[in-house]
Amino acid sequence: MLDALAVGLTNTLLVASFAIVAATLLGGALGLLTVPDNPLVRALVRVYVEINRNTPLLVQLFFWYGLITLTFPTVRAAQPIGPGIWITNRGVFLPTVDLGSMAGHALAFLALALALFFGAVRLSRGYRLRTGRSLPLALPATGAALLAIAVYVLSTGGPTFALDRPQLRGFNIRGGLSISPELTALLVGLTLYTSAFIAEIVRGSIATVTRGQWDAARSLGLRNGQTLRLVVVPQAMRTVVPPLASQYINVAKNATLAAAIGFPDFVLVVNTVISQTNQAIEGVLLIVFVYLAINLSVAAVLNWFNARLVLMER
Amino acid sequence: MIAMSNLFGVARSRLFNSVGNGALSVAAVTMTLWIAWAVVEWGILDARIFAASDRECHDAGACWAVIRAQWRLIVFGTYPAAETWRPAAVLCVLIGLMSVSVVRRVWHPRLVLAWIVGLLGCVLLLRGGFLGLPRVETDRWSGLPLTLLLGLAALLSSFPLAVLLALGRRSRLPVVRTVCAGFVELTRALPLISLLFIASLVLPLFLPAGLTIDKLVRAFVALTVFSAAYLAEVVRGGLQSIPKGQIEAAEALGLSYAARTRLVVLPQALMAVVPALANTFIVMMKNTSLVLVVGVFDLLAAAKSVLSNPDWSSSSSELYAFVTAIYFAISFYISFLSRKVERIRATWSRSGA
Repeated sequence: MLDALAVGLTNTLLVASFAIVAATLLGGALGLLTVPDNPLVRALVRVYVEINRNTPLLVQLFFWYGLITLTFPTVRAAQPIGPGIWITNRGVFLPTVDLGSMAGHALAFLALALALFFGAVRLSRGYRLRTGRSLPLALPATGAALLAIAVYVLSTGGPTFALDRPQLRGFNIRGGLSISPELTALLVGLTLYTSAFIAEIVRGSIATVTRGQWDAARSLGLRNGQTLRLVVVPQAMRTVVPPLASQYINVAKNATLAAAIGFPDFVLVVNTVISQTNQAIEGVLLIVFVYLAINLSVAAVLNWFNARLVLMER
Repeated sequence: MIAMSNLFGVARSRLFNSVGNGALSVAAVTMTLWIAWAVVEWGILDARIFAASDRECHDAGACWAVIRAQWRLIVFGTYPAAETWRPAAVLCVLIGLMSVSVVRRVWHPRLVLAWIVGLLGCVLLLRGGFLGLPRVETDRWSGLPLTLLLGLAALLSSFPLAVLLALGRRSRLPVVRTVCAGFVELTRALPLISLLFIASLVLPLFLPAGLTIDKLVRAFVALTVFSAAYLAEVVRGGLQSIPKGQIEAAEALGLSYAARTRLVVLPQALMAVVPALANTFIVMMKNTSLVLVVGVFDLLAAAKSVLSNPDWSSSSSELYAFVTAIYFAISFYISFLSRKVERIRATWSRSGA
């Protein structure tokens, strides 16, 4: 029972975190596309947003699920679209990397290189903020990191890793990472649906940054991209974060629609447990506590982030 | 006179005023044309309206024949075929009420009464069992009439509940405040699907043995509770936007709590949050589609059931496009109504009232 619940919870959390990251990237990009005063692009984004917001997520999930299971090629007819990447009506198959015995070393080394690089970037920024002079560390830092990697690879012969490529064996594709049609439909649907809401949030927040900020930045000689990155987005972030937090919580809740297309998320698992054990109250309390915990932790993380943004004010 | 020269002016100043923007415009035009062409080709040019099964249009675009052949099942679901006029009449009453509500002249407290009477009438008509109408059990109620009835009834009954919860959350009595806040926060923390499961699993436990409540009623209760919690937060936002002076002025005039809430606070508070209310209404209407997980045969479930017919098993895109269009129309109606109310509010604030 506990195993089943753990799997359900993991599934919910995995789906939610993937959808949150993907929808934030897509929605943010769509929101930023409306910044240039380009009526065509704005209209296109608007159509995307309206179609997504005004139709039930469940219909969208069914639509994607139907599209995958009916129009994607069968396993036997499918051809890999890349090295080891298959898109079939039984799901998406991706290659996985097996790092073997060197995994630990390689990862530790990579972490060290990244830490050095970001340390240098931080140092350079701190120096510039203190003295007003630039300390061009980025290029040397990149060079140093690349050099370190080269030294590591040359001295150890590089990490040995094997690529586990999915292959057609018998009646099915085996090996690698397989994503079932239910999960694919859920990830695609949830990401597109949420990205529409996030695009609206980003668009609205950027609109709240007054024209004067743009004009002031331009008169200081900043280019459009710099104005956006250094002046507008930091200010818009303050109004983005609170509604974004509720969107993230919505994603965690919307992930339960998985139940309707047969993907075993937490609520579906608990529902099955209840119907097998008849312990309805316990099951319901479990759902309540788990979702309260998810909501509170998302809220806590974003509150912390929000507090940092507010401090940036003056 | 304005048209052509202005169009070129707009194109130069807003579409091609820089290299980056020009590239963006070109990309947007290409994409618009490409998507529009794909939709037109699939939905109109290559589409088939006449076909006996979807195997006959496997080489074509959209197979709208499925809607033609199965519209009765999609719209009216499994309601007894001989009695189709009853859900049809319900549909007419509901769409009629929705259309009439757009006209500003009929906005009057009696309109709410008309809605309540209309919805109850619809329930009675679907149920039957009087005047020689055969009784139809609720598990046969289905399709679009059910979706509309369930959604509208849940919204209408959750609204007063939401106002009470919002007022309760700002009450001076700590017990009322805590209970209302706890209820709202707990409900908002839960996904609707879990609430629907809870309603169908837990509600029966609190009832005496032998007494069962209907599946539809349980779904209705879950939807009402869920939307009440969300609407309550919106209403609370409106209440917070009322300056303290308004309440003090009402107190100074000697109005009681009930009178000042009804006459001074609520009208302003609700008008202030019309767009947010409309947003929540739209979300809740879309949420009614979730009732299919607890076995209620709504519009989406009816459309989905067509896929189990071997003749139409691969027409999912057409079916869901059709359902999407219906939901889109419902959402569009709500936002149309909300914009209308907003315009009236705008004239209020201009005239200083």
